[in-house]
Amino acid sequence: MFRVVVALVALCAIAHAQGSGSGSAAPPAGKITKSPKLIQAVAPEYPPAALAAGKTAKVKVRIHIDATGVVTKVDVLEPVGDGFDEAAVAAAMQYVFEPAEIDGKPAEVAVETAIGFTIDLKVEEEPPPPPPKPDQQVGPPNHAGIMSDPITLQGVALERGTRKKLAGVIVSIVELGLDAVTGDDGTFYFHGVAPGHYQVLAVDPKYDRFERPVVIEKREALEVRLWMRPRGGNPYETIVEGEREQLEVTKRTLHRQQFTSVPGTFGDPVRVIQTLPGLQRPPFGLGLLLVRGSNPDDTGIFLDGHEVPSLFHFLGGPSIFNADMLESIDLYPGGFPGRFGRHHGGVVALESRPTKSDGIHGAAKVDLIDSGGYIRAPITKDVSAAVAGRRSYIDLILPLFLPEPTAGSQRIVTPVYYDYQGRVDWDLHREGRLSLFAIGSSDTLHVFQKDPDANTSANLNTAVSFFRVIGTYTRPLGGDLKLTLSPAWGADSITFAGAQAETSGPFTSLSVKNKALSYRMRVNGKLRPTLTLDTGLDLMSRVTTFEALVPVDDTLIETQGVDIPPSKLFRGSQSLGLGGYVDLGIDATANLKLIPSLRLDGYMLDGNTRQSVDPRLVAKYKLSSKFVGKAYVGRFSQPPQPEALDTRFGNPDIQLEHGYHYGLGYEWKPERLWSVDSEIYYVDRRDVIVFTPDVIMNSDGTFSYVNFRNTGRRASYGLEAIIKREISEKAFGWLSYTYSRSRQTNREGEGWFATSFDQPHVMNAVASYKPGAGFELGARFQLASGRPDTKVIGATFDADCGCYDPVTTGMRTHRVDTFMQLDVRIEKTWLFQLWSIGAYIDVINVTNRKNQEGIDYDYRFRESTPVTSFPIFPTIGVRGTW
Amino acid sequence: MVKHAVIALALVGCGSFEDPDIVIDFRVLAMSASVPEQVVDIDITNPAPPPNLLDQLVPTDVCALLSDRNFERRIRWSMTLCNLNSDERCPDGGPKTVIGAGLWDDPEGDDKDMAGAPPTFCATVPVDGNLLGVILDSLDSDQFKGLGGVYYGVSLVVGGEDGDPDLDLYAAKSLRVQPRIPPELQANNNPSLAGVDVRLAEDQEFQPLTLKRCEDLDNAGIEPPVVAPRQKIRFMPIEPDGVREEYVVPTIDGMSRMFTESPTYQFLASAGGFSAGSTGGPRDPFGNPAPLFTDWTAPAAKDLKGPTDVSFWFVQRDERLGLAWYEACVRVVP
Repeated sequence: MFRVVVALVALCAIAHAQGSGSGSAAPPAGKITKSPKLIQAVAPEYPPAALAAGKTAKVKVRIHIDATGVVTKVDVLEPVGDGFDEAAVAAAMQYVFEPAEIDGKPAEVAVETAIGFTIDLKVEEEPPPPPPKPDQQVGPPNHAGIMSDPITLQGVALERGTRKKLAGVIVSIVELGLDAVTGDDGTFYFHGVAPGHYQVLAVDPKYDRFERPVVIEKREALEVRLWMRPRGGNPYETIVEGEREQLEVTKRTLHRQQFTSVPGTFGDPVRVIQTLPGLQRPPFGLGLLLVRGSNPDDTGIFLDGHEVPSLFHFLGGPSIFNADMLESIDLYPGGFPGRFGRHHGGVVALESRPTKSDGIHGAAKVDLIDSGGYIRAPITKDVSAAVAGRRSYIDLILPLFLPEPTAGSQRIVTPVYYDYQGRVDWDLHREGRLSLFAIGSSDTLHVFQKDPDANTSANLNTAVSFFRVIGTYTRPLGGDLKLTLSPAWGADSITFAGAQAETSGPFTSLSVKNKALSYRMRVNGKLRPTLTLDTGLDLMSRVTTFEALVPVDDTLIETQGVDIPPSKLFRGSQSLGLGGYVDLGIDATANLKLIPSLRLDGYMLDGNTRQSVDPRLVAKYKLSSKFVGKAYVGRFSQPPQPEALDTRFGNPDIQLEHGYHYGLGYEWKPERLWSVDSEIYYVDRRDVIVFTPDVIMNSDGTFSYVNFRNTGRRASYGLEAIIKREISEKAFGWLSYTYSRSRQTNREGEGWFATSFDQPHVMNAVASYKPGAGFELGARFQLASGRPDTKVIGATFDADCGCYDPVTTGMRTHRVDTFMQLDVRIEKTWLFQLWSIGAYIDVINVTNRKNQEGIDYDYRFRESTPVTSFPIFPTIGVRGTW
Repeated sequence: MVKHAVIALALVGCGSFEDPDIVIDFRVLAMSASVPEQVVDIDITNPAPPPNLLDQLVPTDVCALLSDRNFERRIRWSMTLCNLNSDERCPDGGPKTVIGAGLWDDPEGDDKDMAGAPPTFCATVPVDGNLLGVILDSLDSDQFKGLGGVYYGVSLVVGGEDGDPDLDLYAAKSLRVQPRIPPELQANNNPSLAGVDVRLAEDQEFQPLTLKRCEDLDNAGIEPPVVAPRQKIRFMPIEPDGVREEYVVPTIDGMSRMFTESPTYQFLASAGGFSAGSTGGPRDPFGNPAPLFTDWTAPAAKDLKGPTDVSFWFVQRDERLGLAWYEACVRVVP
């Protein structure tokens, strides 16, 4: 019997041509720094007549490859006839290459090679069944051979380390020229393959080429597993951003691979946002989001569309989210769509990760600060679930590094935290999809009481808790429209108590409890090819109660040094907000897209009504396929915090704050992996609520404190730019730069001064590279202007307190030293068939630079010393996935 | 013992400065006023002309407690009556008047003619039109229209007799005039101590400390208590009966509140170190009652050149501008 061997010969020929580097027909200008590499081959069809006649041939061809690795043209250099030339050209046109590089840049090249057609004659002791012919393959793509024949070789393609079943992998039996493409479940089947020795080849652009020998015995159906190694040797998922209809002007998205691998972020996905343009650097690396000079409270944080109060654990610790539970994080620094409301700063939108799973998968992480785990699994065919949790033990580690408190001088307090998340997804098929996501966190303070001389005690019974449960139902509405209904409920609390231990009970305590109920309805999709709609309703209800036992008397004029007995305070606040929005995406011309938005909000704030009408307009103009200009203008409104409305400690008459955003910029995508995004902006925040010591005299001669007024104003302007290298199998990174000025005044007629977070220059460079062998190297470099500070030029001894009052040059007229920090990270991943394990070291401030965060003065303001940020701080950890 | 809760993350980068409780150079340590506040009777339904207010006021003596350890020199000084600004100094504009200026004796002088009496550094705020102008100016800017008191102050500027004026020290003492609202409101009196006890070792009893300067004890031929280097001793202020006055204050809602004074104690020394530089006062935020004592540790032998007299200053304050001070001496013998 005969067996035809063609594909292997062809591949060897290509490899030779690449390896020599001399096959280029027309030597290009410049030097070939990287030869093209074949990553996908298709076996040529042996011309039936030639096969029947026993003819063999070797066809010399020249293959033209473009800068993306696609074959654009195949020339036959020496025709041989008998259908061999056409078969060789047809096969070579389907090859896919990793692009060649000239002077380090992808470029077009041509290579010459020969595709061989040979017939291997073997005499079998027992005649095997006839080989299936390629032209007789009928059936699903993951089946090859004659469908009526029995399956003699079958298997599944799996990702090494995660056991993820891989779809779309080309599996070939080299000797037979048979190809199958794995299905969604990773399976492939070959029918009627005769007993014998074969070479199975599996090819996928995202994985290393896989080849293994198989032996098919007589009357046996062989089952194999093909373990594919991700390119770069790291199993962590690479997500390529799809083309979604965008109704926002500026959105910066982080993907899962970037969540945990950016150095200096403690593996914290949300902290990575701080490296994007438009954000000021927070002091001490705290978990604050300072968008375009605004206060942290001015930036809304939305989880699956619902606002949540904070992203971070207490005292600016790590974020409360497990990276494995997040699908994406979007930052909208300004001009955000009407879908998001009730904030005039920026928006951070997090999407939880669907749990659809092809098996039981999980991850676990252990480092010096905390440990956590994640697991997801199918429950039934249509229901899947995932859970995650984390617990810190910094309270056990920190004492090993912190100085011992001196007798009677100080007490050390550290936060202890845990968080948890769970999600269930139910695929209702044509009826849509249902999901339930729950997230919670807890923070307490741990007090080190090491002072042996302590004759008093203090318990800090401080706890912060957060919980949200979010239901989401999504279904198609017909056409391209989609309906999303999403209720959410949550409870948060903050309690603080200082107690004279076990003797007289709590003296000072504060408890703030917050219950939030929200509901969103959204309809979005394309109404027509040139019209996209995103509209919905947004209901928010919040009940806040304050309970305090504190030594406060708000009727006193002077309280300094007064021993005020504690009194019980009960305060409450009820907020109800109903918002409606419409975002329209209108393709006005082939190049011009207009996105008008309107958001209407109504509030009932402790019985007082407030309304806002916020129109916004975004325009995007496609100057070329790679260059888009954009501009926006819009109004954004924000309600006061509940405590600011309190009739006793706040001011029930205060109004909404408003922000006006203006921006102009462009997006340029010169190459597939590179993009540039830049814009200039101006944000004018008016009616800002500020604290005031003012009092008013009532008609009966008594006085009332005003507490808060809408007399503040803040203005920010600047320029943002980011040069980004998208995620590929080897690398990702970005260089971001922000020029920003933010100033404020508390009352009209009073002077303007820098805001607390004003930083003219902020630059972040982030790079991650996988050199192979499972290594991933990362670095982050931060350069930022020092924060504003108030310069002290003298002091006066205040005899009534025995202290010194500083004499200054004015509010925040000085700036501390420039901040500069380099963080590095090295991770090594070992892949096993069923799981993988990675070990990493993340070193913050690797140069141990003493970065100034503030200035500390001596008691009479004669001497000063910089308050510095983190010294060099290494973190080591291990994480495994399966 | 006063403790401070410190968040661990905020510890990074704290520097090391001079101990504020240890007096090593030229400093103003305290200023007192006698009387610290005055109360005037006003008929708010039929207010008298402002000049009549002066009839109810008395002159106020304002004194300073100084230390100038590194020099034997006289002190150039001036005191100005004004409404203090946020820097606790007299502003360029607004009414003000110099109530005294000149040269004071060396604060550490040991003139035996003084017969054990320490030098005084005082000036008097006279009751005159200048005082009325300052009070009316303060009243004009007071949101509470005088309810709770009208504050004004005395700014002190001191420097070495031939010293660089740029190195002058500034200090301020606030004074207050209150309308008698509510009617039971009484003017504050300066606090006082019955004495200061000292315990030289944990197994010993407290004993009264002689409250005189080292120079005055020397002139009087009295030996101060003697301690060894690094020896820890405890000071306990002894409050006389009634020093914690009950007082009433008006509230902005037309009512009044009654409180009891909670004096604070500031401890200063020319060497060594205190476990707490300030004691007393209201309960701390955790509800712990404020202890009054402090422990002082004598300087190490390597820091001494033979027997050394260490000066102590105990400053007592109440929350109503009242203030008193006492001085003492301890000898450290290596």
